[in-house]
Amino acid sequence: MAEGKRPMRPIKLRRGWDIFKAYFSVSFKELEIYDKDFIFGVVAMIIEYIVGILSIFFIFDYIDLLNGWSLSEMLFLYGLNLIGYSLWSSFFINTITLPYYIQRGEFDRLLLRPIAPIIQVMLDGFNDDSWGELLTGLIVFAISWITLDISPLYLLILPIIFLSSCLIYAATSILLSTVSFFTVAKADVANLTMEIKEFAQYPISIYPKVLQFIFTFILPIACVSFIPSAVLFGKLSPWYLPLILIGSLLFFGIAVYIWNKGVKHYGSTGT
Amino acid sequence: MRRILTYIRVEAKLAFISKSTYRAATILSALTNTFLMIIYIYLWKAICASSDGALGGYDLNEMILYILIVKLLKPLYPFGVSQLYGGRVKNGDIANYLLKPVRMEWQLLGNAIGKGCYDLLTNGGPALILSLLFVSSWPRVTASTFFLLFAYVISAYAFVFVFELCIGVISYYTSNLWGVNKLKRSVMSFFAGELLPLTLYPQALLKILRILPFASVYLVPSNIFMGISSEFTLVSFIIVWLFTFVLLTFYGMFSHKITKNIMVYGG
Repeated sequence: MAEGKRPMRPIKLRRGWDIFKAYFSVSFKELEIYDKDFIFGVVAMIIEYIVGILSIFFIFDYIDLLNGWSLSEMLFLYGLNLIGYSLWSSFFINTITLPYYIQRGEFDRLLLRPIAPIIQVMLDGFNDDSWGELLTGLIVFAISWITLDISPLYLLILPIIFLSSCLIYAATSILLSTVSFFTVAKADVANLTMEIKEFAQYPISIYPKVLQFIFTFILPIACVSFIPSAVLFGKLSPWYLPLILIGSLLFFGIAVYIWNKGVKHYGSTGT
Repeated sequence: MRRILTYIRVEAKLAFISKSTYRAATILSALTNTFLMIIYIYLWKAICASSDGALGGYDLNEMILYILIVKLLKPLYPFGVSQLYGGRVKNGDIANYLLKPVRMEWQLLGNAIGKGCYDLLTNGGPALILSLLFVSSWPRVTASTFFLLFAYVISAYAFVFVFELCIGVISYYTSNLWGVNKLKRSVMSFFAGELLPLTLYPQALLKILRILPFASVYLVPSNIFMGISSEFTLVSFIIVWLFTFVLLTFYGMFSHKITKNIMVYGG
């Protein structure tokens, strides 16, 4: 290596890590300011997920199987979906607030900084109590895993499944937020990521073919919990798992590419 | 009174115009809501198909009607009031509103009505189209049904508005309303039957819900529209107004006390 030249990757990684730490520290300080609200948030989160689980139990009071899926399998889907969602919610949730940045003219400020706007938007707000969601998801997931007696060998590939789920949610939120570059105002489409979480916790096979196609190839929420669960239950071939990882990485790449196209289209609101 | 009504009307008009300025967003919102409603309908179709009989007293047709009515009523109700209130407390704008000669609550009401009318349009159109596609038989809606429905929706609206004000006033204490709002949404969606009709809940829980006003938000108006006689109907009208007055008294006392001690820093 020639003198004076430094390897680029470690510097970029280190800089990225420093930026992440700085933003996270600011977010944490904000949390300390609003400590009472944080407690309300944690209580709300617990209630929200108890309610979600109770709803499944109430429905299964009336039915034995939902399209061939038992209560334990449904809880497994619920837990897996919640883990992917909470990972997204922890690191990427701020992408859905892009319309507010645009409407208030704050996006101009982000463009002037020497960091990619997408990174800045992501890091500008963490959902600090999502760790509680993650914990809830892990508990439900672990209980249903034991109940369903799934092979422990599959534990080795769980990080890949969790990563894919998170990437799919992240890509969906980035993709849907990009619409704001064209509409300026907040269209409900940006919140769709939070809404589709409700549908990803049910087997995709209950929907008609058109919706199944949309949920597999356009907004691939089938890859969040349905396909991985079907593989773990032996309903689908294990070859679907690497496909999910490749698919989620590809989907994330496409979302970032479209975001960058959206940034080029962006015209300030002049606010 | 006339001055207040004019003020509410002007605020409502302003909120409506402000929301409808962005046409592309309006069209996309309508499309998104249509998409979500379709998914909900298919979800419940699958659940109903898996059950032997009616679910909580609802057959598939009634369940679809219930979903559409909930999707129609939800944006109509003033659920964003607390967030707006809390935002003003957080950024200090509350001082400007407290200085105005008309109470801020009227401004909030006008704003909520305007936004509600706009959202009703973006949700109402899709709901109407979907109901024509998915609802196989329509209930008989008479003038008295319509009048009763109107009375109950107004009552629920008043309750939700006062409930939202009470949540909003908490922001003086917490300075931020993110967590409180999340708590409110969870409680409201569960107790009001936004996710599932309350009749699907176990009997023990229904006993508690009978003395709470939340059933009036979605369940009772839906049942009135569908012509289903419900144990909730008569009592809920009294309960919802009782809770509204109790919450209003609490809000009046608390906001009066807190605005006396409020300190606004310049900026």
